[in-house]
Amino acid sequence: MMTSKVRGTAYGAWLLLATSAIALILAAVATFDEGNGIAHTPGTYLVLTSTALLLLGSLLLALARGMPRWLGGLLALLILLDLLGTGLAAYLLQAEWLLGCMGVGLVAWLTHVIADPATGKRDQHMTQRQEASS
Amino acid sequence: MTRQDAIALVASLLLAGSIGHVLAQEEPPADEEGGQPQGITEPQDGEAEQDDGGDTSQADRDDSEAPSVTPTGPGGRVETGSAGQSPSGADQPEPPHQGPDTWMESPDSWATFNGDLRAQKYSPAEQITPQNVGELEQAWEYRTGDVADGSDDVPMSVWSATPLFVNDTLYLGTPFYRIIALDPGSGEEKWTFDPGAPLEALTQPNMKGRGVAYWQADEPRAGEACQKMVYIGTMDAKLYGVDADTGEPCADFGDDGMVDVNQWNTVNDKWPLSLFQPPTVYDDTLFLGWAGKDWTDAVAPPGTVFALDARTGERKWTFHALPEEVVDRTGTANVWASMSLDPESGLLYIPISSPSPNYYGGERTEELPLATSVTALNTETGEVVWSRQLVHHDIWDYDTVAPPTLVDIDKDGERVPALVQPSKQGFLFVLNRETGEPIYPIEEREVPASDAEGEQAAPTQPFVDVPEPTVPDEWPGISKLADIVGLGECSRKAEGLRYEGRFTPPSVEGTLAYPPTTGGSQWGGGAVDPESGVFVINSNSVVQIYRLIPRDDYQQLEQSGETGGYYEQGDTAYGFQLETFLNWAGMPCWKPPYGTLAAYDLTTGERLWNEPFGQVQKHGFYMPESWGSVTIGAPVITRSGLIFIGASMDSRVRALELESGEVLWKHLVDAPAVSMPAVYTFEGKQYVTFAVGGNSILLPKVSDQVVSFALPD
Repeated sequence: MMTSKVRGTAYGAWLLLATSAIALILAAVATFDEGNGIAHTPGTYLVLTSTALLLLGSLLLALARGMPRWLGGLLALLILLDLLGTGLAAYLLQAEWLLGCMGVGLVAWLTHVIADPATGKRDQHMTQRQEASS
Repeated sequence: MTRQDAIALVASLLLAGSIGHVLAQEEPPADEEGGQPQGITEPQDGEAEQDDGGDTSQADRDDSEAPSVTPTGPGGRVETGSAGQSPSGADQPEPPHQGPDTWMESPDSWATFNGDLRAQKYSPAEQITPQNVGELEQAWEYRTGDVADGSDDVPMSVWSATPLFVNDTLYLGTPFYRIIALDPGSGEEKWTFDPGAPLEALTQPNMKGRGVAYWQADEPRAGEACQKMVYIGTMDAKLYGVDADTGEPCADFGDDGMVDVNQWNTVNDKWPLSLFQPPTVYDDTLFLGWAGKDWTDAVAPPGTVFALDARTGERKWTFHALPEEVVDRTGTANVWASMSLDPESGLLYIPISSPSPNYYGGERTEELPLATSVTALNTETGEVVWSRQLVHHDIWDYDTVAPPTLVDIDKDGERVPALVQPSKQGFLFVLNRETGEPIYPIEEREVPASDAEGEQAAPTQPFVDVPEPTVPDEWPGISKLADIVGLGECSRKAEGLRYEGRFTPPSVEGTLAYPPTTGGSQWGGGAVDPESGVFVINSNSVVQIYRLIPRDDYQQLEQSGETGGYYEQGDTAYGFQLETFLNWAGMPCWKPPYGTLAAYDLTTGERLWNEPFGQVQKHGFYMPESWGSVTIGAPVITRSGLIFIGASMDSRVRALELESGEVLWKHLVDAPAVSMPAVYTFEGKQYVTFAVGGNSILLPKVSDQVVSFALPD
């Protein structure tokens, strides 16, 4: 029998989701807060876009648990690239809070990869076999 | 690869446009005068006539007086006006000894463009120290409302005013030529004056202004108007004088408060004598230079400096920098930067620019000794006391760009009256200011010959080794990063260019110019601590390509509409293209740093430190600090051992420790603060006030912000 409770809570994915939401808010502030030295520049629009994509990716990671494993892996890879790229952009924009957020996001991503219960159809199949053998 | 290198690499790849792109947009050189022909519309004849006739009564008055003209110095002339005193005619005219105007000598004030007449940019204030500067906070902010980003009919504003603090008031001149008087402690507006000047790009592509000048009578009569006056000039050559307490025009000054300086623009009057730089004030006299454009025409208004009575605007004398016999082939050699003045000796020091056109001298091959020089004038008569040419036969647009800083230095056991003259070449000329003789050696060295038809480049040029030049003797070399990104484009481009060191003449194949017209030091000049003899100056390391274009080819270029970066240079044998050395992605092809701040011990000539200053910002991204930033503006030194400076591309104002060059405090402002700050003490509290105007050369970012900083109560 396939149930979500056997997979447990994906703490890493949920932390990533929360971090992404905060990052999006910070990017919006950086983009629209006049007088911060970077407002309305291509750089801030770039991080606004990248954090929005990060939020979307995190949502999928946290909520769409049934996706194929390869897709989950690809998503995780894209999220990593987004985290690193946004972090570099935040560093060059001297947006310290956003940079810090990307640091936390990286920890969340690592947690997800290392500690979160596996997701995807292959994992579900494995679970069924394990249940059958028991 | 170090961490810094890695960051630089990634940053550059991500930001292919970074500072190179900024420089690519650098239509004019970084000075206020050097060259921006694009989009300039010359005034029509009708307009010129209108200007000339704008002050008929005064013009008639002057004309009727038939002023006398006396040769002075090597190739100069002085014309004595109705309010003037005739030159002595002696071979070595004695300088007058007036002594300083007492109102200007207050240690609490910032009464002139450079803080004082000696252009020391030094404040004896000690309240803000290296220990507490980190606590500095914004005291108040004011917005003038006079700002334009060029998106409508008004050209972009470029505001480089120094706020003046005197008469218990902070005075500002805006790029729309309004005067604003503020409470120096709160920033509250006291009064404003609007001359209604036309907001048109008559000579420069932008609305430019460097603020106001102040004068007061030695013993002001209470209750009488215009015993204290504030002056502002306009792009269309009008000089306004208003009462410093009320802002009302002074009726006795010119015609109801306005002198039309263009009435004296009588030779090659192709454009008005734009008054961006406020006059220098001393001994009830205004000393006034002007700006124009020396890239469009070969024949242009010849350089002059006017001395006017501060009360009435009547002309005392006019100094001419060019001999009369050459003005049908050339012009300019004007004074567009600020001047300095020794109030003890009464000598006026003027930085004279290059003759027109900027980059080809085939029509002006005779010696013009006062062009691109620092020259000392007798303030009473306008006579040349001494002059030293800093570039012979200038074909690089190496205008003498900033006022010399006057300071007494201890040398070989003696106290020597000196001046330090910065230059675009990066040399610091340290001269005896009474005689013009060098204190540190100036050596005439052979330089490359020109291969352009008709050009006769000077065989030698003056070189200075001590103090060490602000930019290296050799260009920095190809940036590997830019070359990799450009797939070898930088190297290939460099191979096709002529470069034989400093003073390589412009050529048809293209000359790699280092430093070019945007390099070295710019109009802000340096600051000095007169007690320690430490001199501080910001400078730029930029590489540009000078290319002469045969006239026939240039005409074809014009027909193709490719005018960006192309200068007509009248009808001489060559037009000209000025190009910053960039790769396809707009990255600089030369190695950083692009801007530094350096300190020198004037008693030994030793450079104490030289650090990259500021950060390049493009698309919002800040480049590594080790790259530095091109700067426009000037430093100020305080007795407590601090340097205050804006000037950088990253829209920050900073305080640095004078001893080490370490940045101790920085604060974000609305745009690059392309000016120098005013440091003053009001009601026992020290303020540091910046005019934040921006400059299209650095970033397409402008502002009308005035912001003042002080320690918390």
